Amino acid sequence: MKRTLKLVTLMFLILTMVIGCSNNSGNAGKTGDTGNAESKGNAGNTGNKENVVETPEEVTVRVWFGREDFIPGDKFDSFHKQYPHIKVETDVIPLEQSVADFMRNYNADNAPDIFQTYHENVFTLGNQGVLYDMTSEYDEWKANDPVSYNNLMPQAFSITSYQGKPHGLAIHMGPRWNVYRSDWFAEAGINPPKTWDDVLDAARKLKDEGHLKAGQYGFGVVVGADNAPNWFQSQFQSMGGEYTESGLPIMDSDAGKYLINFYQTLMREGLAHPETLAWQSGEMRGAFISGNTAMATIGDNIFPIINKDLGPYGEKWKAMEQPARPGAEEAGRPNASSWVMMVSKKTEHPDAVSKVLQYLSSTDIVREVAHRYQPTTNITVMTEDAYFEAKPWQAELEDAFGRAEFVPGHLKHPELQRILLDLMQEAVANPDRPAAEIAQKYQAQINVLDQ
Amino acid sequence: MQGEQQLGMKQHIRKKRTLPKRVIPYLLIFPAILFVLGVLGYAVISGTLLSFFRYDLSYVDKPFVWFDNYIYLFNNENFQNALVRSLIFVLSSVVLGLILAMSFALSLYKVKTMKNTFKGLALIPYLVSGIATAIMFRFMFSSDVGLVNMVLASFGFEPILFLSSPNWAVFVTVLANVWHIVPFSILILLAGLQSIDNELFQAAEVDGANKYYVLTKIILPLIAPMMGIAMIWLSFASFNMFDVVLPLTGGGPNRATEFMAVYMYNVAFTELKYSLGSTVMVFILLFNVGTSMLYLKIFKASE
Repeated sequence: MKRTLKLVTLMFLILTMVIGCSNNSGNAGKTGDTGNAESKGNAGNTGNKENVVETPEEVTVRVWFGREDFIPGDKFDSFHKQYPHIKVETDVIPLEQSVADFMRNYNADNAPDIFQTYHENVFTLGNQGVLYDMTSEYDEWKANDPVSYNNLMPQAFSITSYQGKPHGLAIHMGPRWNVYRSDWFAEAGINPPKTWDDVLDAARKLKDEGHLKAGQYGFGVVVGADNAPNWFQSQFQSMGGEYTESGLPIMDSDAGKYLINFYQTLMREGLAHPETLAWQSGEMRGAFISGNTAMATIGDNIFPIINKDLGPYGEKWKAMEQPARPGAEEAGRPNASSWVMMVSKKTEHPDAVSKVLQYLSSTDIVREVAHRYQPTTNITVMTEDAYFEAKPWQAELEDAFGRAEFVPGHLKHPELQRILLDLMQEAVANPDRPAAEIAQKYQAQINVLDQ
Repeated sequence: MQGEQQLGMKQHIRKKRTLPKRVIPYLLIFPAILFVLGVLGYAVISGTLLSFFRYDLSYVDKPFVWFDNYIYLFNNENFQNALVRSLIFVLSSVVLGLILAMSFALSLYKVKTMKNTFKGLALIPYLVSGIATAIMFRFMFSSDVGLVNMVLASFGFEPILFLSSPNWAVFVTVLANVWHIVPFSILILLAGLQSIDNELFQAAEVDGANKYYVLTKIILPLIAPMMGIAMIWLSFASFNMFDVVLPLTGGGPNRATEFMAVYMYNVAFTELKYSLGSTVMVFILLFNVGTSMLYLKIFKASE
């Protein structure tokens, strides 16, 4: 027994030493700064047209996309033709895992040069000092090609900024709209809702007057435990919900309590599916597409699928800006999210990275993605006729799109998401509990995040 | 004196000759130990060390905080919830799993024709991935199109909201977990049954022992060590269960199925509190080691 213990202790000590040594050697081997400086110089030369006669250094830029749909249709073919010395390698790391996977790879000196994540994570990543300041690269872009640079909305740069400096590029931004079954509404003689009270009334009327069959419900919401509360936050904004200066939602407010009560009413009156508490985003969207829900809050990126599966826009379904809270019509704002492309501080080829970002945001490339998937910050694409033809709902939503407001980021955004998810789940599971009580309970947890 | 010297020399020579033979097994097992320590040991030690720091993406620095993470966890409502629910989940899975594994092992033991085919069939759930198992059970227990609710409806029962009711959700996760991990226990117990000398059964039959007597006085005592191993497997696999639970319920509703491994994942990779996640990992490790030792002690004693 004693020998075994000695053996185990010895092995433990050896392993501890190995781990300790490997950490040291890893740090010693980190030449990020030197590498950056050297390669930056080289990469800078490759960007200079006068020096093209010299053989440019072969570089590889690794890019992580958050969804496969964000990868352009030409899969960097035109980019590789234009810049044969820059090889782009892509991978898909789900947005939900982007920060954790990036940090793990960053610490192992294996991070990609560019990775895609939710815009709300910029603060957390910036605070860790793992992002590359692209100011000089963007200055160069602006100087060399002001047309393409100025063709992006200012948010493309500002939303990726940490301490006032851009560390990536927001190529896509997408709002969440309220969708409804226009054919059912016409049949029941209901006007499109202007307020969230109208939404509840419409759902009640559809249910009570027998317009809904068994298994069909008035409104679909996502409350499942494995979801980010993005739809919830977009509804909060439309209800005039406010945020603290640090970027935390004020749930113990009129808007917060109204939102909680809205979810509770849906469940209490049987206006939403009884299994909502376990629903994932796919189930909510599927319920609308398959004709089991009359209304829902859905992102613009899903509309092409609805258009294909449920029928052309305007025949059976329509989209509108999310309604307002009664009495707070002025305070409501349309909501948008962005899935930003961030640059790793350990990139050795910032100039090549800048070229990749320019390619991804260029009109011809981003047009194809925006037509089939998420809207973009590229002004030409969003204002040309082709976009309005590809996405017929845009004509009605153009104004609201222009007013869309991003959910603020916060240093402890990941924790905030968990608290909001718990709040939603508690509200739906306890439809009779006073909304004020729930708001107060979770506001206390949210407040702790600022301490 | 000379005789003693000669004897000592002989012993020394024998020792010298036998030493390589004694060393060979250790040498052969060394690569395996190295592999396990390299893969697992590194992670465990690194994770244990991490649990004494505050590595949280909300903070820039990573100070050494002694046992602060452990103290925080034990005072944390969500950790306490995960711990209690994990114990319920593990206990239910072990009890149900052991009963099912024993029943299937006895059935397979009695099967005479196509024995290997049935053994192979019994192993299929274990070969199915956890995510596939979760999706299968999610479909089976959904309220609209779920098979279970369709059967209930055919008998005139109201549909049960299995996945959105906290208690039913735990029930479904236990079923899915047991379905997934029991086959390996069946093999362990079957191996135990096959090692029992057949003459014992014949003798019992001659003595007029009934089936209950054979089961309780012969089979169970003789396969006790195997039952211990099966229980270690069931509790270890249940306590670590992650890939079935996350896609099945996501830890909900209301954290009802947020068992320890799911909690660890959420803390480390959703809330990005790596040190706290490592602390949960240490706790899971200690729990598994403790439970395994307890089982082995109990079944060794009964042996």
